[in-house]
Amino acid sequence: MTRLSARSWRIIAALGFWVLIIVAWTVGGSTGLAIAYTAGAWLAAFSLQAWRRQDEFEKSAQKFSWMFGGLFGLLISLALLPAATQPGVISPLIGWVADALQAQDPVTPAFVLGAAYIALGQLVGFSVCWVGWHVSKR
Amino acid sequence: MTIRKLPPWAFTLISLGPALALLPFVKIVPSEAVLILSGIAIIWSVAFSCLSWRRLDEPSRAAHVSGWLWGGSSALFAILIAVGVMRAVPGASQPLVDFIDAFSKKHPAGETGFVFGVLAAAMVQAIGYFTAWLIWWGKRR
Amino acid sequence: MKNRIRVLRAERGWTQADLAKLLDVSRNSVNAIENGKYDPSLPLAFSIAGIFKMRIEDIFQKD
Repeated sequence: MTRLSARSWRIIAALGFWVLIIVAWTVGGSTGLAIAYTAGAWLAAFSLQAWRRQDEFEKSAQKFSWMFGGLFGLLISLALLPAATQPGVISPLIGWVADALQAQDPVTPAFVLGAAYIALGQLVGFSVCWVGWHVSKR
Repeated sequence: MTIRKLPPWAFTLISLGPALALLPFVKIVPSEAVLILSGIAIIWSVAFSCLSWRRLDEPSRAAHVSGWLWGGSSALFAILIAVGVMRAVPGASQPLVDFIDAFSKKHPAGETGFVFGVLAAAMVQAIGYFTAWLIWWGKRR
Repeated sequence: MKNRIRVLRAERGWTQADLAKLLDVSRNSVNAIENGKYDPSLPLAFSIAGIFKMRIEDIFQKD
């Protein structure tokens, strides 16, 4: 099992994660949230295993992409913050997060959304940079 | 001393200067002038960070890359755990809510919470990055 | 960095996939190294030299 390739571990990580997320969404409530966290732990554990099996070329791609793509994604997210905080842009999303977390106050889901916004910006930056890196190395 | 002969850490300080100078003027909804100056400060930071990067040697670059990869991503993971704790433990999010509410008197609570979420995530990642960077160098003494 | 990996590989009748398997890296890695788009780390450079039974400096040349 430990000789599975990095790609196999990534597939296991992704498949398991999405199956658990769908189950969490279906179940809902506190149990659903616990299942969602299990999905996150699954993804983290098997992604780490995939990382260990990757060769240095792919590790370089991910390091470079997270460093430059992630940082630029973060900067662009910060630069777009005034637009994101315009009335009507985030309030529907805050409502959706409040339902998912079953929050009693408006502040906690907004706080969570803010953190997720930054993470998403970095993820987009990372993905774009990763693709660009691989294209440049052909 | 010409700018070319400055060491990499000097470039880092120069890059952060304008951003730090603007900090006292940042509000939840900043004025147009502060927004424009913040944009200039970000461009300035990026430009001098790139110059600083070009002056770094290979091990120093490896330290920064490793710091951001492990520190930055661990910090995001820690934020995810913190959200879970806030949700699962009754009253765990109350100190945060009270803190943010103090700033919400002039602006909608949602907008204030969102901005604080963004800044908290960025700060936690910066702390994670710096910690991982220190660990990288500490291991190689 | 320039290198002679493509020539050395062809002399032995190996495909990129064959060499990748011997080095325990991906075929993309071998392709990028051959094209000079990626410089291998020191351990990988030693592995490559070991596979071809040559010295590192006989395989890799500075641009």
